[in-house]
Amino acid sequence: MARESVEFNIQANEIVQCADNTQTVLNLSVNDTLDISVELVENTSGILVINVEGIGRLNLVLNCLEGSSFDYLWVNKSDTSLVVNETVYLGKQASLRTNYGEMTSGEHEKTTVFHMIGERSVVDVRSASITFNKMSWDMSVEHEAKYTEANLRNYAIGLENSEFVLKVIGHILNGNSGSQTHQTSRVLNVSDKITAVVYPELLIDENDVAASHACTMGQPDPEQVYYLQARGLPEREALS
Amino acid sequence: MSVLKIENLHVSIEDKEILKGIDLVVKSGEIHAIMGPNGNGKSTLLSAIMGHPKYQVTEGSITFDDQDVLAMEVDERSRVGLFLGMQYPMEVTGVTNSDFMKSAINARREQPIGLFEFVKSMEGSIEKLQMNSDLAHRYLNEGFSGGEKKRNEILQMLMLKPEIVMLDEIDSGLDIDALRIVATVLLEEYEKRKIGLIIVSHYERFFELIAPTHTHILINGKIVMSSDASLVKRIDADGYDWISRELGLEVKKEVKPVSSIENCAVKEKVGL
Ligand SMILES: Nc1ncnc2c1ncn2[C@@H]1O[C@H](COP(=O)(O)OP(=O)(O)OP(=O)(O)O)[C@@H](O)[C@H]1O
Ligand SMILES: [Mg+2]
Repeated sequence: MARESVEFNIQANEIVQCADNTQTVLNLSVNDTLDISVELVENTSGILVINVEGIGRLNLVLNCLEGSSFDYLWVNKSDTSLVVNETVYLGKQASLRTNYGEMTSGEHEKTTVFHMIGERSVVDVRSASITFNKMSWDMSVEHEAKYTEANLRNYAIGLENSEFVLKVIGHILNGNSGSQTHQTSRVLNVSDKITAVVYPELLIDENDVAASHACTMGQPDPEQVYYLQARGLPEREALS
Repeated sequence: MSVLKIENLHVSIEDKEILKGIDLVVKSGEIHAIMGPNGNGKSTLLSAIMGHPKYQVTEGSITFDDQDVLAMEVDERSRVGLFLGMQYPMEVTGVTNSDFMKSAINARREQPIGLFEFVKSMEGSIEKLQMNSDLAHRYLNEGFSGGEKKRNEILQMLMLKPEIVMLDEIDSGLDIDALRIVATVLLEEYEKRKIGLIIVSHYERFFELIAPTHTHILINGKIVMSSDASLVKRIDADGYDWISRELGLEVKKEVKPVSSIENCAVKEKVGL
């Protein structure tokens, strides 16, 4: 598919609208505080790429309007201290597929909130974090409309003496039946000096919903996996 | 009736050939004893049947009721009815014995087992094996004594109801009473369900309690002799040297410094 590609280098507060059938690349350079608002227009589709570097605080609002369908790639290149507040709104039938890449040797604090405000909106999250240093990430999905769906898959590798805290919350608010929230978190520690904590949480106020979480930490020992498999557990289950 | 058939099985570990052409057929209602000196491939044989990823099958075949076992993942092998009670059961922290058993049972059913049925079955098996009932709620094998781990292997066997049961030195680590309990439970299961058994052990004592229908001697990666229960007695009395002498074989001796010290000690005693 031949898409047009446009690229913006941004250092000051800005509101950006992504064009239809286009790859939009935003290179954000944070110095102190940066407020960015991105709008994905109704019934358009495309790719949004955000590259971040710098020091300070980034407040990012991503507005996925009704019927928009986007792939969203986030790459964090900051090696210093960065606080990111990311707020995402998904309108009716909006769908967003996000891929987060965090390869950080700095200190990072990130909060991501998906507000599923339109019926049948869907968010699909994959994240890969490699931490050398310190990282905390609070990710939550607020299901604020019916038939909304979230699938969160978070993977992390901790190296050296890193500290990694991941908190993932799926919250289906009262009255939003037919919604689904699923999450998988995996953390692999490559050294044993690492502190990694994962808090998976499901807050469900509604009956007619589906929710699940799976979480694994530490180094999967092939002998243990074999032992569990030898009792009939599929490898996937043996690993979780 | 189930049949496990092993033909011309060659197995290597890290490119070193350990098994050099094993042929063995085990049917429901048969009890096969496998004996052999340390390090000659007994555990390798059982692990290869179960599908341990470290053991590469380089030649030969394994079938279970005409299904190709080598094409199956480890967990599939378990679900079709193969069970291996391991020489060294793994400790797995974070999952309790009873949760683990429940998942393992559910992995082979369409409908998850009812809580009542499960608890009844687990408690019944624990009682049969005279295990401490708190072991159900402890993490899988974590901190279990050697004997408790071995009983726990049998507990899993009871609950998973396999067709072919392989036991790798299940008797080592068990005290005399436990040995008798395990043998009784095994025999009961054997009578009731007509399972096929492959039992690896170094000791006649266990085979006195569970009389094998077949006995095989595994030396240097091959089954060099097969007979009935009388062979166990002969090994117990005379060891393995006579076999290698008779057949002109070289026995693979494990070159561990510890074992050579033991050998010296024995020789000194003999010399006195
Ligand atoms: N993971 C491994 N890596 C390298 N060599 C191995 C490995 N596992 C087994 N071996 C070697 O394969 C040979 C056969 O080992 P195996 O465990 O099958 O012996 P065994 O007959 O069960 O002995 P024992 O009576 O002491 O239990 C031995 O020489 C052993 O050192
Ligand atoms: Mg062995």
